[in-house]
Formats: sequence, C-alpha cells, structure tokens
Amino acid sequence: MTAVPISESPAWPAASDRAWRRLKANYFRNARDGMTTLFVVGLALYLLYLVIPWAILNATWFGAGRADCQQDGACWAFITNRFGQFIFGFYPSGQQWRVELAGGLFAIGLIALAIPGLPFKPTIGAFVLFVLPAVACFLLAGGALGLAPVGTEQWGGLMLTLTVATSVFGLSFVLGLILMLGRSCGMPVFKILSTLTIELCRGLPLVMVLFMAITMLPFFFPSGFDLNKLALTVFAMALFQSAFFAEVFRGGLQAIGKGQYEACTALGLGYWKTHYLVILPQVLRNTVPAIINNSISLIKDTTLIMVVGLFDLLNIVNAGTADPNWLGSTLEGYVFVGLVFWIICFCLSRCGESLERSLRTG
Amino acid sequence: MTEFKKMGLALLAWALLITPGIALADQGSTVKAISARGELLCGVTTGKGTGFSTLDDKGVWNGMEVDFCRAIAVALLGDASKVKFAPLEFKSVIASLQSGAIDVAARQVTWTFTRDSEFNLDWAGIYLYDGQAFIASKAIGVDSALDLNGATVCVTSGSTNELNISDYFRSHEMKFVPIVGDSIEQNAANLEAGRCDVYTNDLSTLVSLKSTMAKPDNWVILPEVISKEPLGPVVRQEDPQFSDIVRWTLNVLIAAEELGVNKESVIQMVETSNNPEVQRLLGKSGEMGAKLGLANDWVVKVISAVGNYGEIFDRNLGKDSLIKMPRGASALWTNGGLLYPLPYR
Amino acid sequence: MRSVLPPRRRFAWWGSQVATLAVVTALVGLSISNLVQNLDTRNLKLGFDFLNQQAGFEIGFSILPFSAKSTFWDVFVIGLANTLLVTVIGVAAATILGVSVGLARVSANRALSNAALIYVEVFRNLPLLMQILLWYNVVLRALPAPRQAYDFWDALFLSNRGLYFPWFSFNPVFSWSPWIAAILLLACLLAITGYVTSKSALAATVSGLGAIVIGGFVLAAIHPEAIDVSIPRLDGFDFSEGFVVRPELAALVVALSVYNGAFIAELVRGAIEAVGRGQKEAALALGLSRRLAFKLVVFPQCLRILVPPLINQHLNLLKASSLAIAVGYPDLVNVFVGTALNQTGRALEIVSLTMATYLAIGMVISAIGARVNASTRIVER
Repeated sequence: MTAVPISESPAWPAASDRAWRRLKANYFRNARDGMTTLFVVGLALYLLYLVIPWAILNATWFGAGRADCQQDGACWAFITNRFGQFIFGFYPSGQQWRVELAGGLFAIGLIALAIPGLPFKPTIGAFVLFVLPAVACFLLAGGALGLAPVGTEQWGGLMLTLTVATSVFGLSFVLGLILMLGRSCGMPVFKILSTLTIELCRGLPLVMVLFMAITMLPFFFPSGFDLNKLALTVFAMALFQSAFFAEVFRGGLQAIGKGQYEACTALGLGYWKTHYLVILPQVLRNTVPAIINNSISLIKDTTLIMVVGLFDLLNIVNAGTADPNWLGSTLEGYVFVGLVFWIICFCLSRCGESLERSLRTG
Repeated sequence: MTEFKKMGLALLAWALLITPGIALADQGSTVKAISARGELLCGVTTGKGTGFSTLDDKGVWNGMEVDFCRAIAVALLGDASKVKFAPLEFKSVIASLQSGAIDVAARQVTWTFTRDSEFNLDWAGIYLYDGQAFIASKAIGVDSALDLNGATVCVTSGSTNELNISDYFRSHEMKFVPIVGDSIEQNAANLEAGRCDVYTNDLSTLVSLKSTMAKPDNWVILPEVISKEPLGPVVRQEDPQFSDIVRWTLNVLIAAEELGVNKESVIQMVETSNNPEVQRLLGKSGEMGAKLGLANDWVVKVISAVGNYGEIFDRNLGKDSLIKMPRGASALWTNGGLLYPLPYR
Repeated sequence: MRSVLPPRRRFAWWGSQVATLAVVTALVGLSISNLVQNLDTRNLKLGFDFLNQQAGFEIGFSILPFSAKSTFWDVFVIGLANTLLVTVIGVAAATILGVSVGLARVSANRALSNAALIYVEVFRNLPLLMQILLWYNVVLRALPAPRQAYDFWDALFLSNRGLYFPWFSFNPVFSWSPWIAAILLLACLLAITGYVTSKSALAATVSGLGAIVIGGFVLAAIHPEAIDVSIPRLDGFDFSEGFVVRPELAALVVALSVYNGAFIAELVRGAIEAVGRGQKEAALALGLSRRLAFKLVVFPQCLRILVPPLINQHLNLLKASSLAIAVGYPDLVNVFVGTALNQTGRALEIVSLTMATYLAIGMVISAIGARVNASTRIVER
C-alpha cells in the first residue's frame, strides 16, 4: 500500500510497474476488494501472532513432565518424551529394528517407484504391492526363523496406523476390483451379490461395521473360535473400503466406450484377457485421482479403530494425555497427530496430482 | 477345459471353507475349546484400571483381574502365561461374552438378577463386595450426595451405575444430567475438565482413580454408598464344567487365605501340613482335582503362580499397592468381612 | 448375450454362477447354523419384546421428552432424533460453509482464494475423529465453569456446560385455536398469491413462512401472556430454564460441518470450473449483468454437476455422526448400541435394528437426491 505513490511515478522501472498492476488486479480491483484483502491479511497476521509465540518462541522442547514446561507456551516435551511410544506403541524396545526395517523396505520401494525413468517399474510396483506386505507382516509378527513373536496387542502408534492403512489399502483395492467386475458383468448372481455388498457397506457407518466385526462376528462362528482382533479389524475395514473402490472403478469403467469391448471381441480376446490387457489398465488410469482421494480418506478412517480399543496413533496420544504427569497437554498431542496425518495426506494428494499429469501426457 | 478347471477350483474353495467350519462346529463346550486353543481368552478392563488391569511400558499386564485370569489359566492349562487378555470397555463386555469373543470376563461386572437370568450369564462368585459412590472436586464444596440436586454426573455407558443413579436421584426427588463416557479415562477427563460436577462409579474404581490423579488431595469421595455392587468373574451359561472350574478357582484362593496357605509356603505345606483341610486343598489326600477334570495338585500350581486371595488383594489394591484400599467388606468372614469360602470336600 | 454363447461358454456362464451361489448359500447357511447353535447352547432367545420394557436410565440430551420411565423403544426414537438433529444441522451448516468457501476459492481476489485454499487443504487432510476430539477436548474445555460463565446481556450465557439462550413456549392456558386458524389462513393466502404472481415455489414458501412469523409477532404484541419466555439463570450447579446447546452437540456439529464443508467447497469449485468460462462470457455478451449471468446461466449448470456428489457428501455426514460416541453425545449408536444393548443384553436385535435404520435413512436421502437430480437435469427436446 505504501507502493501507491511509487507506482504513479513515471520514472519507476516497467517491471515493478507490471508487478504493481498484477497486485492491483489480483488484490485491489476496487474498494470492496481491497477491504477484503486487508481483512484476510489482517486475520492471517493475527493468527500467526497467536500461534508463533505459543508454538515456537515460548515452547518447551524437552522435559520429564508438564511441570518442566513454561506456562504460556506449547509443551512439546510431551511429544519428545513419549516419541518412541507414539511411533512403536508397546512394541518391545529390543525388537523395534524390525519395525524400522519394514518401514525402510517400504520407503525404498516407494522411492524406487517415484524415480522417473527407472526400468522394471511394473515389477517393482507388484513387489511393493504384493511381496513387501507379506515380508513386513512376517517381520512385525515374527515367530519363526529366530524372530521372537510379538503379539498384535503390542502393536500401536504410528506403526499400527501405517500397518492397518497399507494392508487395508491392498486388500480393499483387490476386493474393489472384484466387486466392480461382479457388478458390471452380465451375470445376475455376481451382479446381485456385488451390488448387495457394495450398497450394504456404503450405507452403514464404519463404527457399526467395526463393532459388528469385533463384538458380534463370533456369534456366527463355532463356539470358542479365537479370531485375532487386529486381523478382524483390517478385514472389516477392507470390506468397507472395497465398496468405495468398487464404485470408483465402476465410474472409470463407464467412461470407457463400448467400442473397446467390440474391438477386443473382434480380436478374439476372452473375458479375462479383455479386462486384464485392455479394460482394467484404462480404468485404473482414468481413476487415479479418485483412487488417491479414497486412499486419503482410508488413512484418516484408520483412526476409528480407537472404537474397538486398538491403540493407533490418535488413540495412543489421546491415552497419553490422561497421564497425570502430562495433564493439560491435549492440544500439543492433537497438533502432533494432526501434523503427522496432514503431511501423509497432503503428500499423497500431491503425489496423485503429479501421477495424474504424467499419466495424461504419457 | 478351462471352464471345468474354474468350476473345480470353485468347488475346492467351497470344500476348504466348509470343512474347518464343520470340524470346529462340534466343539460346543468352553473347556474343550480352551484346551484345543491352548489359551484362555479373558476379558479385563482397558489397560488403564489401576489395580485392576494395567498394561505397563514393557507390555506386561498387572492387576487383580489379570491375576484372576492367570489363576484360571493355571487351573485349566497349567501355565499362567497361557492367557490372552482382551481389554474391554464396559459396554462391550456383555456382548463379547455372549457372542463368544471371550471365555470369561474377570472385569468388574456387577451380579444382578436380570444379567444372571435374562442374559444367561453365570457368576462364579464374588471377588469384591463393592458399592457405588461419587467423587467430586473439593472446590465445589459438596459434603453429601444429597446436595447434588441439579448436578451434572459422569457415568459409565451401559453400567448398573447408570441405572442406580437414576433410581437414587428419583427416590430423593432430585434432578441430574448424565454425561455418559465409555471408559474410566474419558469420565475422569470430563470430571477434571469440569464438564461434570461428580463422577459416579464403584467405590474401588474411584479409590483407584483418586490415587492416580495429579493432585489426589483436591478430590473427595462422598460418604454415601448408594448401591450394592457385588463384582465377580462371569461366564456364559454354556458349559457347567467351565463355570465350576472358575467358581472353585476363586473359592480355593479364598480358602487358601483362610487356611494360611500362601505363595511362599504352599510347596512346603504340601509335605508338612497335618491339617486335613489343607491336605485336601493341596491334593495331598483325596482325588479332588479329578472331579473337575483337573490335575490333583491344581491348587498348588494356582497358589504358587498368583498367591492366595489376600496376597492378590494386597499386591494390587491393598496395603502393598499405591492405592492402599482397605479390605472393607471384602475381608474374610473371620475378620468381619463377607468372604466365606465354601467347603472344599 | 446368453443366446449367442457357444454351448461350452454357456455351460461356464451357468456353471460359475451356480457354483458361486452354492458357495455363498453354504457360507450363509453355515453362519446361520452356527448362530442358532450358539444361541441354543447359551440359552439366548431372539425377539423384540424388550422394546416395551422400562429403560430405567436417563439420557443427557434429548429434543423429545424422556424420563427414566420411558421404554427402550423411546430410547431408540430419542437416539434416532438426536442423530437426525446432528445430521440436519450439520448438513445445513456444511452446505452454507462449503458453498461460501467454494465461491471464495474461485474469487478473483487472490487473498480470499488463497485463504479458502488453506482452509480446504488443512481441514480436508485431518482425520475427522481427531477434529471432533480437538473441538471437544481443547476448544470447549477452555470455557469457564457455569458460575464464571460469560454473560451476554444477562440473557445469553456461555460456559463449559454449554451455550444457554432464552427460549419461548406456548402458554397452554391461552385459547390458541382462533389465532392459529387466522394465521394459517393468512399464510395460505399469501403463499398462493406468491405462487400466482411469481410462479416460484420458493417465493410461495418464503411468503407463507413470513406470514407465520409476522403473525406470531403480532400475536405476541397483542397478547403477551400467550407466550412464555424463559430466560436462563444460574441455579445451583448449572443454569436452568432457557434452551441449552451442550458442548457434545456443538463439538460434533462444528467438526462435522468444518470437515464436510472443506469437501463441499472443492465440489463447488470443481462445478464452477467445469461450467467453463465460455458460458459466462456468452451470457455477458448477451448483455446480462454479472449477477444475472451467474444466477441464470452458470449457477443452474453448476447445480446439475454438484447435486450427485453433494448428496453423497451428506450421506457421509449422516454416517460420520456416529462418531458421537467419542464425545458421549447420545446419538443412536451411543444410546442404543451402547447403553441399551448392555441393559438388555439383546446384542443381535439391537445391532440389526440400528443397521437397518441407517440403511433406511441412507435410502431416503438417496431418493431425495435422485428427485433433486431429476429436477435439475436438462430437459432434452
């Protein structure tokens, strides 16, 4: 705003004149526009004024209890002190390298996938999608090849959140494809069964589905049948999410013209070859943005496993805030959880956008 | 040919899915199922019930409920580590028990007529004679539950507490607003934040909660105890043998205290004791264990693993714990309490 | 399709379906036989007779009358009403918020559009459950106790027990019927006139409702005794009288609308961008004002794109309202699957009734969406 007289000066260079014009066109077209800009900027500055001293300037980063923290600043000591528990849950401390190794394998796989121009990408992709989860499960659960078994009730924190998210994603992706094919093939039995499953899962709250799976399912099994709680949760969530994937894929399928099928029939391709070679690649390409959106909501939905008493990242932090030693650190806890989820979800959505662009041009 | 193969595969899958189902379908009884599984599924309070059931930093379970689960595991399977603890919020205890997700709930569940009759559950006995009380901040200046007209009350979802408090306020022509929470932590957080004026639960839970609060002296437990809450391990009304095993496990723990058999002395007493009652209890005389389908020295194993009732109480709730709860009505009848072991003969 | 298949493929076509049907039937049959056997050995019986039993507990918040003498059926109805209350307020608030932010997102003012972008990116990427807990455990916990409540004009009070405001009730002693008849008659007349003059259902509704409101005020001015006004006042532990919005409801509604609002904003932006600049420019070239161009050309087309995903978003909000259990708001899942299930021990009946209810509401919302969708569709001539 102090720039006003400068811009009127004819001696001012043209480049900054253009900048001012752009500023004016984007922020100060007329009086009302200017007021809006000032209001928004003022609000933003006020929020920063509230947040920065609390979060950074007056914050305490290390300590053994709430008593060690400054009154008017954030008590990040709560996070740093319990960081190990928030990441690994109750996983035995001597065995945590197994979690790190599994996480590292996934990270390497994903980085390899992200490097443009690397050969054998489909092989790497299949490896990450199908082989790594099995390896990771074995690493985490142990019980053979000299690895001590670690019961799933000791899993928790971010590690549990990511384990649940990846396994639910893998399962529901495949299940979603099956349901979609079932719903769109011409066979009444498959069509009715798939439609029923999809609509049932889409119409119920996830809380109810989880309650049903954990508490009610044993009714339908022979008496005394021991079902692993984590596995049940993962299967229930996968079934739930697969309905959403199926609908996404169906949308992608509908965008494909009839001509493709006719061409395949003309080439003499059967049902499976037609789908595997021609239809599904197009469906997947068409639905990348929707798949990413679904995956983001899937990750956020993993917090609901709190309802069945599993200690995911949100629940373990929430439980930590009840510790008398750290009373009053609720906000810090939620900010930490929020930040972790936000970074994951935001990165995923950006990855999705770049993937979408590369697919469009490629 | 491929179509025939596909059909063959479908039929094979069908057979694979059905066979284990049929094979397991006749495992009706709880004891058989536990033996086949090699593990007892025991429902306990979600890991934050100090003194009752807590999960420590090393992933080890502690508490009175936990010890009781271990005692049953020793009796049945001979090994205190063969228990899988299912931490449950109160509202999923009964459904989990009915549906078969757990074998026994050692979690504090009040023995009531409706639950016993209509829900078809069986209580194996009473391990704590409790009653419902209130905890409040000293700051609100209330000395008696009768001053609580118009108060907001935190209470556990689905519990007997929820019914008792409704009766209590109605009978005293008072009003209240319930704030229902699932867990002790949720209710305690609501209480500490001032969302409710008082929190009502069983006295033992409140005493345990108070001991873990940041400033225990700022809180007061009101003198009124408004209900009877007999707490005990509960099983499905399905397998009489299993109910008997749970019932007599609890009973021998109490009997051992009465007879002075404890964790330290039990092995020695098998040989040295001349008391016929002790000899029967420890399997020295008679074939008592076989009558329940257990080993004859099962009581020796149980007591060596967890100690007698008094030791369990003292370690978790009583004088050797942080909570320091008095025995109260849960003392032996010989000490003026209500614990009265049934004759083991 | 069937008739053109060669015999072998026809066999596969039928064979695979029959085999699948057999597997599914067998699995369902096995589950049911397990269930029957389990119920039998555990001496449990099925039936909905428990719905007539007295519930015997209190519910913290209800828009319908409830006492400890009410039955479990009343508990179900109250839970449902509380769920619908959250859903209706949440849907309205999320739509208003989402549309405003969506419009801000496409504004020519960069400051405004960037602020809207930040809002969308922040709230869309945080788990809803965390947001509910944040509002409840942090924001609303910061409010003072009732005795230190914020006081606005001695009529509005804000404390950690809720927001209290004056409420009115109709005095039952007063003879209402002639007045109601007169006001309703007036409302009908105005609505009909409104419809005849402007041919718009919206105008008719507005004038009809306006007549009722104005009629109410006139009545209150002439006969103040007809309406009882209750103003909240501090009474012991809490405020009494008036109307109170509890923190549980507030946290749930705020979190649901802020979260869903972010998604709706993106839908609105997508819809406006999908309509395309050409449409707007053409309308302006025809001499329409900016306002009219938006109202007559851009907006109706947006609506057509917007309605199906918007309905979907609202369905999500309905389902997400079951997260009420995290803060103890007595919604259907909380009071029925939580409390009532434990007091009756009828897990199977209660869970199936609740699931059926959610499916039924979902179907009703979908049907309404289909009607709206049909009415905004282009009529091809």
